[in-house]
Amino acid sequence: MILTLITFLPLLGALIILCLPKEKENLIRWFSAFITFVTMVLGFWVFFAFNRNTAEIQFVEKCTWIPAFNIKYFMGLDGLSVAMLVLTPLLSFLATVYSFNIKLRVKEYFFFFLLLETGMLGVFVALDFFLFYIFWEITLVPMYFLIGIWGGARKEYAAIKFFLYTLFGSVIMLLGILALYLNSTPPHTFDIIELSKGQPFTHTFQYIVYAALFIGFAIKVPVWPFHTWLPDAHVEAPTAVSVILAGVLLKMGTYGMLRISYTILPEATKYFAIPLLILAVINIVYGAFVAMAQTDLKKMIAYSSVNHMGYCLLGMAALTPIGLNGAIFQMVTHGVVTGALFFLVGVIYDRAHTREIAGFGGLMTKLPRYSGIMIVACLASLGLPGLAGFASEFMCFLGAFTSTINPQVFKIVTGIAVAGIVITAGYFLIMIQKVFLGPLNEKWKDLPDINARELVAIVPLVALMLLLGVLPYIAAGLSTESVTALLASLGVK
Amino acid sequence: MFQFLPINISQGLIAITPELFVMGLAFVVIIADLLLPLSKKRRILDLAAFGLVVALILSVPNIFQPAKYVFNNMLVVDPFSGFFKLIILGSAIFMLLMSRDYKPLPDNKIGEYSALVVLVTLGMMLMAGASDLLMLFLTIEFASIIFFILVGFLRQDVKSGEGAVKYFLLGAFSSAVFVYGASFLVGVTGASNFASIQQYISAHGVTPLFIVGLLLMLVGFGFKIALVPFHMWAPDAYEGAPTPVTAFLSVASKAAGVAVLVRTFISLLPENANVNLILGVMAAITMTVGNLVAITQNNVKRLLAYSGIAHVGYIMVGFIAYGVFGIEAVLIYTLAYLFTNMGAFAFAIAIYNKTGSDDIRDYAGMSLVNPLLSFVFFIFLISLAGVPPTAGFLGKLLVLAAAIDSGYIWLAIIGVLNSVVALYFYARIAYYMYFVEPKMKEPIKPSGALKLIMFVSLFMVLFICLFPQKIIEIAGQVSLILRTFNGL
Repeated sequence: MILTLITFLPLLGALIILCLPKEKENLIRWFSAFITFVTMVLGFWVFFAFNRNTAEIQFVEKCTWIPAFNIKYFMGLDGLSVAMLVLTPLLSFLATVYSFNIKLRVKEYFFFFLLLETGMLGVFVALDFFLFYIFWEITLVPMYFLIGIWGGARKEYAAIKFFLYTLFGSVIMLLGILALYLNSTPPHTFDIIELSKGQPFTHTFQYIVYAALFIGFAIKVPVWPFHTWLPDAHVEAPTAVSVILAGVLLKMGTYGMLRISYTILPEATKYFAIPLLILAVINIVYGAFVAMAQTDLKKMIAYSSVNHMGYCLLGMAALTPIGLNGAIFQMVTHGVVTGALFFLVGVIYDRAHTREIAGFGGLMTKLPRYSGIMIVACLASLGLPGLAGFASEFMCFLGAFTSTINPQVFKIVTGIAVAGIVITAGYFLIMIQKVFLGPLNEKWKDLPDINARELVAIVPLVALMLLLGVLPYIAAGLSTESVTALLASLGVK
Repeated sequence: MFQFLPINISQGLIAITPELFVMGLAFVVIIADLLLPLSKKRRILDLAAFGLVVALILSVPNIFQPAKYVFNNMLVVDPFSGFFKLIILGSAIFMLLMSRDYKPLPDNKIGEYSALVVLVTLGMMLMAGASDLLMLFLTIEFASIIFFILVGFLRQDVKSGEGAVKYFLLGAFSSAVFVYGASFLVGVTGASNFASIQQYISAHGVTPLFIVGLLLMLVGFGFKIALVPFHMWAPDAYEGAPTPVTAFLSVASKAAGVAVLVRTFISLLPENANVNLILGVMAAITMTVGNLVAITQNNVKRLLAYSGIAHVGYIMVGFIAYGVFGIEAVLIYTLAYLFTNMGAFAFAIAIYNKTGSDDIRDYAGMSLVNPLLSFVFFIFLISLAGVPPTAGFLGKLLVLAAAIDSGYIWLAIIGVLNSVVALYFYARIAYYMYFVEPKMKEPIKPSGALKLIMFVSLFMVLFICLFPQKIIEIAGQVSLILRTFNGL
């Protein structure tokens, strides 16, 4: 029952918030924090209770739901999903704490926020396509409102663009799901695990369905050239929502590929490994260059997500144990690091009301604590050894370099991708220099340093960066067995 | 009962008890109109609604009975007609409840209005069961003529008159084409009832002339359900008609049209005829035109009119697919559409009563004064767009599954692309409710009847998606009986 509890606790909270009076804003804030805190604790409990030595689905909950179409209420966790199930409630709690500064329409904000959390958690635990798709789509609605009501200057545009773009992806994905259902051995099934066990799908069929699913997932990740919604949505969204977008929503795409495309369509996965590799490299290099060109701090971080999700795709394309483990680990570290970066951008924006990189300068002298944390987060993001980003990126690269799919191509292309790291380092260091070093811009001499609420939201993430950097096994070890089983089913050595 | 009558007549009368009851109700309503004083005339709506609830209960057994012909094959009483009768009666009840608070209706006209609504309900119930070309024509005309009057019911309003005249002229024209087509069928087969035509076809096969006749009849059906290119009347009639009539027209009239269309084609056309391609192209055009034109609409009634056109396109996709899911998808889609659309129209009326405007730009800021109601309205909108967890999603899922299952992948792709376009204009309403500087200062306070419609619809919209087992079973049974009864 634990997964059902985790998934629906935020929904329950959201419904209770509906009944609270609108004027009692603090009550609503604390209540939301309480609900997300309990969810987070349950997430940690799952983390410790999870058995790392098996590839079996754990915490299984399965009962019939709509027997007419063989739809089941089927939830479970394995190594592919457990890390995200822990990360999601953590980031949600921190984002709730950070959101205490929301003044406008507090009740609705937290209602939508908790609804969003249920949707996200559901995506990672659902193992039946019908259930999965419902959760997948549920995330869109609150996100639309969170961006559209509480967002920045171009919020309406960003909100509808996000909504339409991702809906486009998911309806194409829906066609793929229906094709899988209708072509499975009778009785047809929506069960993701059942579908991954030797269904008689022909190669051509696999390629077509893979492509349909890929459009849905690629838009979420986002894979170049489907990334254009991301800068708008990330930049216009309120801080806490940007954190959730970058930290969790993007991972729904990569998780979906691993969980669905990789397990159900093995032939297509191998067939499309090289194209995926090329897209990954484009994401890395293109994302890094575009990030470097940004003058807006938040937009830069947004493009750095395109860049970093490229590493994740690189590890996935490799189809090696270390690459896939690295990809899953990269999902976690990117969530932690970029989550922290978005919080930090929010902190400075709340004070200065601008995000122009060129407009700052010398903040180190005025905001020592803030600057220190920000620099640690940037270093983690650019992959400094000892911090979280290094471990996962290294695994992705190593995985891609040792790939057996087509060693020559993989070695050359990975070599190009490594150059991306240099550019990544470049834009972060340039930013640090322009914002924190040099003479203090007199305009900012009265800025207050980071406050307690913000520290509560950010410090746990910084601690995680250090912890995962030193002991990557904590998170990277979660997926080992499942990845081994997955590769065995793919037939890759 | 009825022992003095010939046996087949008395059996027929028993089989159509709900229809007889509704007919009786119409007379009761007319008499009540004569007796009640002006101040109490609005009670007639309650009376009519209550009567239709009884008729609804009387119709329920229909969906569990085996199919049979009555009145010398003129009518068929089967689960399929039963299902559509429930939809028609349900929307009539909702419509009457909505009318209670619809201000533009003058008190002294309520009696006529209620009687007409009850009679048109009767007409559509008979349409759902018509199994003879003559009966089909009579029932379609019966329902259409009353609808012409209902659309033009606000006599002071120029738009109402304009809508009625357009509806009437195009309706008359399409009826003529329909009869012309039907005459081909009678000419070829020498029979007018479906059972005899079926016999003729199984013996002699289909001739081109027969197909031409059927396609001409399609013009008549297309007009009823506003299939592109026979949809021109719909936006004007929807905009001009009293809003409850618009809601009724968009749900019940379409449901009845779909019922006769499906029955005629299932009964008369063998499965593999090439007409499906023509229908498929029409469905694709209908979806696309409906959705694209809806983008630019600012009047909520016109917007829902165009979105309704698009929905007919989806229903057609399910119907074309014929396969295992086909009819089932049509039934569930129609049921989902009933609750979703009725819910949305209840909002349109509640807002109109407050602001006197049907312009969606006047919805600005509704979420600030009515957060709960705005969100409920939004759920209806995403149900129309087919986003889970709503009934509209399940309907769309089944329609798409039916299309893929029978190989119409191109239709499925056009269908999903259309749902993205559709989301845009539904989200546009949400945009005004949520994101724009408020115009509405005071909360709208819908009456009890409107709230009842909203929340019953909300419940059903969520229930149909989350717990659809029973409904799918029933729909499966209904379509199975329809198919076996017609030898498929």
